[in-house]
Amino acid sequence: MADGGASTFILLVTALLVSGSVSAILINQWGDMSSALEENRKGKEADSKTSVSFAGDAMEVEYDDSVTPNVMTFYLQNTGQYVLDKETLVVIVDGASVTASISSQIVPASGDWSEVNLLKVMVDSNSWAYLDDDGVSLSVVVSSDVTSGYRGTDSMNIEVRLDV
Amino acid sequence: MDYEVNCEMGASVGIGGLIIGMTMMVVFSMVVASIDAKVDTSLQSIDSANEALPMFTIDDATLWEGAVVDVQINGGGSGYTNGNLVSSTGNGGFTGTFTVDGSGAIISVAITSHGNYSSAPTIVVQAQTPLTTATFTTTLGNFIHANITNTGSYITPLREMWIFSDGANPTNIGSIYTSGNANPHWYSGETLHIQWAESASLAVSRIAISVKGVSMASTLA
Repeated sequence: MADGGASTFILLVTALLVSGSVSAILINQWGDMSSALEENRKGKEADSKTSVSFAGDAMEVEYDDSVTPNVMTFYLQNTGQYVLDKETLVVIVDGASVTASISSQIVPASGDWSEVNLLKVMVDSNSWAYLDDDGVSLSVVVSSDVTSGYRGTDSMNIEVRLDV
Repeated sequence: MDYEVNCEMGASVGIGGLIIGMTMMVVFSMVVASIDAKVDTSLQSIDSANEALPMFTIDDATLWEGAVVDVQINGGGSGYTNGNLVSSTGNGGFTGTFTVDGSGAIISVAITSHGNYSSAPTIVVQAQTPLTTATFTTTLGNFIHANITNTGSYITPLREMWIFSDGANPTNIGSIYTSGNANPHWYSGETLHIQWAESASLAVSRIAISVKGVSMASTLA
């Protein structure tokens, strides 16, 4: 009886140790998974609250061919909930990036790029030779300011007609 | 002896069952929490996808190229009381108001109707006999009248609405529409009469209005 009781006890303790170890591993794994899900959720939330749209008249986008290089001017509106970071702006015209030659200013000329302000964007390129009423494809990518540790991103595409 | 073995086996089975049960509960709670997190994310995506977009129409848009956009006081005169200004030349429809200081000199002018003229009108004080007559200089410019109607369900803060002329000169509608409300909104079915002293010196042909990513344009009559 004594031998049988001891072996049963050893089995029980072993089972408890194995079970505890497995539980600890499971809980640890769950913690990692939960963190990953939370990161993913906050990233998606930041993306869903970041939005940019073209503002103004797509039929009359200002194009100045009297200067070299030619300059295209258009306006963007923050249509999301997060403040946008104009320094992260990426502009693509007819498939070619002109990000290196962007200048921009907030309208009215103060404050952050929030939902009550526009961003006036001026881009130029030596390779452009557009004419009046030419249509171009305009793509923009922008990120929000870092909010609660996360930065959302949004993009927009639009076909516009130039007004020289 | 048999009784003791049965007791030990019963205890082992019970403890084993307890361990398995607790492990299953832990796994179950993990699954529930995982589903909960996924549902949260999905609901947020659905919420953002279902947000109503603004819908509106530009009912009419008219350009008055000879509107009085500014009245400057050359000499304030004396002997006036607060009153009204009118045009003594042409029938363009200008009206305004003014205020005076302690000596009855006109110190400020507010335009209440910009009118439309082919040449700068002469502005005079209505129905007063001053000691010294005030004189004014007027500036003519572009003035746009437009009626816009909110045809959707989205209630828009006016400060998030922008008007453009020929794709340029963006102006916040909240800054030009006077409603007496500190943070006015544009409600479903409501028509706003926009009056905009557009700053361009040349005639413009189109206006565009952008609201929360939705832009509409119209040719000016």
